[in-house]
Amino acid sequence: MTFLFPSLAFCLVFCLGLSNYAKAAETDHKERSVSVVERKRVQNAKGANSKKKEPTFDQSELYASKIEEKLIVNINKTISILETTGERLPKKSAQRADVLEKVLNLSLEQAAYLSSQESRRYDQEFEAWEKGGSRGTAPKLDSSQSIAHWNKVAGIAERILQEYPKGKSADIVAFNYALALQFLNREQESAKAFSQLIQKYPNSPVSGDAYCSLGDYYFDKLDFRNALNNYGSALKFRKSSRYSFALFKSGWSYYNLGQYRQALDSWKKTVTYTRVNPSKSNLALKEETLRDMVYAFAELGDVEQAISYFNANGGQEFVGQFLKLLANTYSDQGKYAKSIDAYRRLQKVAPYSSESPDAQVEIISLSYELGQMKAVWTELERFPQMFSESSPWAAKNDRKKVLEVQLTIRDQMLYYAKLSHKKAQASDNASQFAQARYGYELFLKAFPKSKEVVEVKYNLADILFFEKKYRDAGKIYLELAMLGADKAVIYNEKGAPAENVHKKSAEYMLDAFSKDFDPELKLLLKEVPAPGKPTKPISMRAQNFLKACGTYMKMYPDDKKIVKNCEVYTAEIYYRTNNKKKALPYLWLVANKYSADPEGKVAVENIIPLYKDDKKGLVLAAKKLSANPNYQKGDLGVKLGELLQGAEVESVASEKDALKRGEGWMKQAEKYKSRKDAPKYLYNASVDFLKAGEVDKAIIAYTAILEKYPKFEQNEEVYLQLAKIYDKRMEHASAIKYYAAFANQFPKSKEAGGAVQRNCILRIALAPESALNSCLDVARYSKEASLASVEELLESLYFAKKYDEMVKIYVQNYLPKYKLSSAQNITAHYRIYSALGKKSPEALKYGQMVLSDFKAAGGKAEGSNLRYVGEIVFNNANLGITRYLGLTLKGGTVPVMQKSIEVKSNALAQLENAYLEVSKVRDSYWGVAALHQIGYAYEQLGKQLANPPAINGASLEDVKKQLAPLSENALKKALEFYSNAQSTAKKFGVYSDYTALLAASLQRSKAGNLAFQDWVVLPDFLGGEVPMIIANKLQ
Amino acid sequence: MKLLTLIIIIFYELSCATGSKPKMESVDPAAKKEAAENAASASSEGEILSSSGSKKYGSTMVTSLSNSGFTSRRVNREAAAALAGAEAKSLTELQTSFYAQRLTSGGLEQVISKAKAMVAEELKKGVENDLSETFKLELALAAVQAKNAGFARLYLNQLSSSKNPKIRAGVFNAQGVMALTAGDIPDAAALFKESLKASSNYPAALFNLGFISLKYGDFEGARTNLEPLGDDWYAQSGVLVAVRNLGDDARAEGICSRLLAKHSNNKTILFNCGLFFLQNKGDKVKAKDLVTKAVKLEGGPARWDDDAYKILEKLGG
Repeated sequence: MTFLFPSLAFCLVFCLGLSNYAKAAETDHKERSVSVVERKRVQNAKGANSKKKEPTFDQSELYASKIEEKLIVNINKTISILETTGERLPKKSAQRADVLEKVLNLSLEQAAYLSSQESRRYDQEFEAWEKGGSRGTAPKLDSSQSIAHWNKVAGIAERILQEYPKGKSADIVAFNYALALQFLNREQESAKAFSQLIQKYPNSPVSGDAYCSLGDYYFDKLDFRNALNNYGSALKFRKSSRYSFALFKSGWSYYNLGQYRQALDSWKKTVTYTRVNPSKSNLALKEETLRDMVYAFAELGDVEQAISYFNANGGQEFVGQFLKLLANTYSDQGKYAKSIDAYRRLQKVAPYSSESPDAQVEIISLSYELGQMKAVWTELERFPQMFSESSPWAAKNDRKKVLEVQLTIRDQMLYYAKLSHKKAQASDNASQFAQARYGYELFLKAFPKSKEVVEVKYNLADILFFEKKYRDAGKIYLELAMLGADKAVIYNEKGAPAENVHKKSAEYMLDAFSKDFDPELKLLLKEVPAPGKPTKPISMRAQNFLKACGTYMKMYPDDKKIVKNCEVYTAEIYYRTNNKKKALPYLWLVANKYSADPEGKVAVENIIPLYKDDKKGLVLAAKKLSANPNYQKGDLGVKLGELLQGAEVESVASEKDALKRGEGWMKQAEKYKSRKDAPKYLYNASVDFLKAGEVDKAIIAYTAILEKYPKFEQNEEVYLQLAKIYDKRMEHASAIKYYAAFANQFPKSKEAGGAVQRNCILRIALAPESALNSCLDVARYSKEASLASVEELLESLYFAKKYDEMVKIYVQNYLPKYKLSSAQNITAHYRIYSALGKKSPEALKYGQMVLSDFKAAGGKAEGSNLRYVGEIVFNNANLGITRYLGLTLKGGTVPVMQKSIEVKSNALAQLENAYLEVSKVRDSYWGVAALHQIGYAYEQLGKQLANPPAINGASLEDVKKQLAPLSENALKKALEFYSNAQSTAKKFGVYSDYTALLAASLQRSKAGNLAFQDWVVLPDFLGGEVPMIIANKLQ
Repeated sequence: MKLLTLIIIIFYELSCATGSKPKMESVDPAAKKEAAENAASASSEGEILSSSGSKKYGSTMVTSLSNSGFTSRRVNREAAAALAGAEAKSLTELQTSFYAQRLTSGGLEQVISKAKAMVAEELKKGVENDLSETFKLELALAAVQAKNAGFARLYLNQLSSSKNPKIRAGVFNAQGVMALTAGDIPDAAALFKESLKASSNYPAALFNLGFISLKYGDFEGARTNLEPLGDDWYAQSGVLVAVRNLGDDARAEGICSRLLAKHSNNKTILFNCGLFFLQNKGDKVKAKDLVTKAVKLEGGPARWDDDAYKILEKLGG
């Protein structure tokens, strides 16, 4: 029907973990099914089980009354004696006839008496059955005892009639025979017997009785017309013992024929006759007739006449009955308003009558039937006022009746309240509930100390609950709960304890106050606690809920389910109102007590933020909670672990000494090595170790990260850091290892290219012969950088004079794998040319390539490249100088000499032209050399001309004289070339072997004593910044 | 030069970034700033500073020493070895040992070993710290001496962009020496000149360029580069050759007089002064005397003695 904590639905969303105890919070607050049986109005006059449709006064009573007059004693014994006597007497004798008639009469009396007894017993049982609410099968008349006697009567009578058919009492015997048959339910035989009697003995006094019996026969067959005829015939026998009865039954026959006026007349005659003939049976019949007359009066509706008649004929006592019957009649006819009027008349006419309280019951009932609930409650309210123990009515009625009426009042109040409640429950109708509530409240007002108070309050609270007046309901449940377990009991109709409602009252009290609080709770649970902020006030509803919880927990401390909910929600209320002081004990209670349940976990989640500003407390709390195995697993376990760890982490982080801090991180990493943050601690350790200057330890930490946590998100940086650290520490082999690993692991890192290149550079430094692949690998990131790296490798090999390897790389990698400029080609080809010794065919091939490169570049080159081109051109030119220098002037004859001079001059011209090719390159370095060589060629020519061979027939002096101009001219030319070379060398700062030669050549040309023969030590000074103090020690 | 520049640019970040990454959870920007300041102060011109900024020596520095017995700046190898082998109890002693080790020319590995120890000490003061450029240059010089061109270039390339002109001068000079060793005279001369551009009076470059000028017949150039080196006898010996060949007899005579007075057992001085007296002064006796003394002394290439004997033959007896 409901939940103790409906807001839990909200909690499903909002409260972490609370959802799991939502079901546990359900209470058994079932709507109490009101225990009341609706009392249907009985159709008194014509109901199936009513006895009022026919007279209750019958023959058996008639005979019984006669028998009672005779005070039969030991009747069976007498009959036995008479029967024995009769058997001994001679048949058909007068004596025997007398004895048999006596036996017959005694048997008749006995049968009648037993029938009367059986009838009375039946009446009693029927009355009891009716009083019991007509439950079960209606009682039946048991005539088994009387039947034997009636058979005996019939048998004796038949014997007498056979033995004495004309006996003086034959009419009486015949009557008794017919009567016996009637009692034996052999109606037809009986009727036949009565008819034969009337025919045979028409003037016999018993013929009247016989007519009467025939009337009964037809009456019982509901043939009221024939019954009336026979009763009418019977009335012709005024001395018949059954005359008054015939009158009485005539009235009933009229009544049943709907002729109420005639019926009333017959009954009035009966009353008059029986008053005039006041035998005991007649007086009884009079009473019965007066009683039955009410039916006719009722049918006629003549109230005033009836009252008047009853008052005049000693039937005052029947006025009440009349009015009651009248009212019943109206009621049976559905004329409830008239019925109520009749009852009110009854109460007015006979206010102190015993029927007056019954009338009130009926008035209430009829008002209820009319749906006049206001009247119901008004009449119920009047009920105790009219018939309380202290009322005038009570003073005039016997105590028993008074007490009965008190019970009735209480019963009525309770009945209608419960009936309304039940109907309300069935229809779920709010106004019905309101009626029921009014009824219960009326009851409590009238009977505040009755046994039913618990039930009434319980039901009243129930109604209030469903009227959503939770607080009022809660208060009543609280009252019931406060009665204690021994008194909160509902009793059944017999006054025996039927149900102990203490626990349920306590539960419902909690439920009601919970419902009352629920809207607030919903809002409260939306509140996000703000630890540290001011405590919010707790509302009255919340207080009621908390008190209800407190009360319940005192009463039922073992009710784990509810106690748990109370504790949980108490914690929640204080928690969400920022009442840390009160929240914490409950949260801890829940956390400790329900650690295996989701609530415990939620409590833990709530406890944690309350220690926000108390780190020490938080750590202690986390330690305490972590000690509980239930909090060691899952996310919470992780969270607590992280808290503890977090505290440790904070402690470590707050350490000011970097070394200690680093060591702290290392311990954390070791302690929590399986946690995701472990590599971070190692990382932090490494950073702090670096700060502390403990590079070795930093390396250990970094290395541990890579070994243990290969997937750590910062490994990219770790690899690089390690590489850089090793690089900085000049542990280049390790640096190479980590640069390479970094590049392999993170090939797409923006620094991968740099790492690969650094790897190449370090390899060049350490072992250039093994550096090639790593330098080529740089091309993955940058072709240009790779080219630069390989060139750096080549430079290093060049300076290291590892020419073979250099040439190999040039030929196999540099030249074929890179797109090179002309300048780069010139350099490469020259380096190969140079490395191969510059003279071999292979070298010369590369020399030619240099020239081709130069040509391809449009005859342009810069710096060293220009010098390389110049050198090759110079070397080509210089090939001719040896031959030229080998040419000497020949003497003997002038023509020979002239020819040799011509040959030499031509050679010089060729040589000069060849050297002039160098100048076309515009390389000053080799240009100076070329100029020097030309100068030198001229100088040699000049010197040869100055010292010619002899000519046959001419003096040497004459020859010299003849050749002197040529010689001087040549030497002059030589000097010009030397000077030109010198100025060029000076201008371009050229230093070479040829400049050294040039210096000497110039000195020679100037014909002085000076000759550049000095010893010069080329220094190897490497400029460093060596402190003087050290330099002084080391020089 | 273009190629080198490219490499340097690519690795600028790598070489500068070591240890600069923040911690995962706590960053110490102060440390980073401190390191940056230290790095800046370490690049101050003309001073030797450890990377932590403390001055370890006075500002009077000797910028060139040689293992050649024919120069004025010959290293006393025994003394250097003793100094290098001494137990270093402080960073200063370690640095001293490092210098000494380099100057012994005893091996690159030993120098690197001491450099590692120095780096370790520097790193203790701060992860951003590093060897100062001065020491890196020393490492490069050790590599040049060891003819380990690759290792030398590793540092020389890095230092060539130094803000410290003396460092740059040292770098170019060292590269010039490497070129010289490789027989690449034009490049060597160009690099020595580059060194002097960085630091106009850089002694090593003056010496190197001065003597190259001298050897290859540029007497004026030689004189220009060597004269600023003052009274250094080795420089003066070069100036002697220059002025003699330029015909400045008076100057040459004065130099010979001073040098011979102090270095009467220097083979080159004896020979070159002998040439001076022979060629410039026509004093064959003096020349014969000096050349004779020179040829009697050990050392130098065999060609020298051949030259000497030829002269003595001409001088007769």
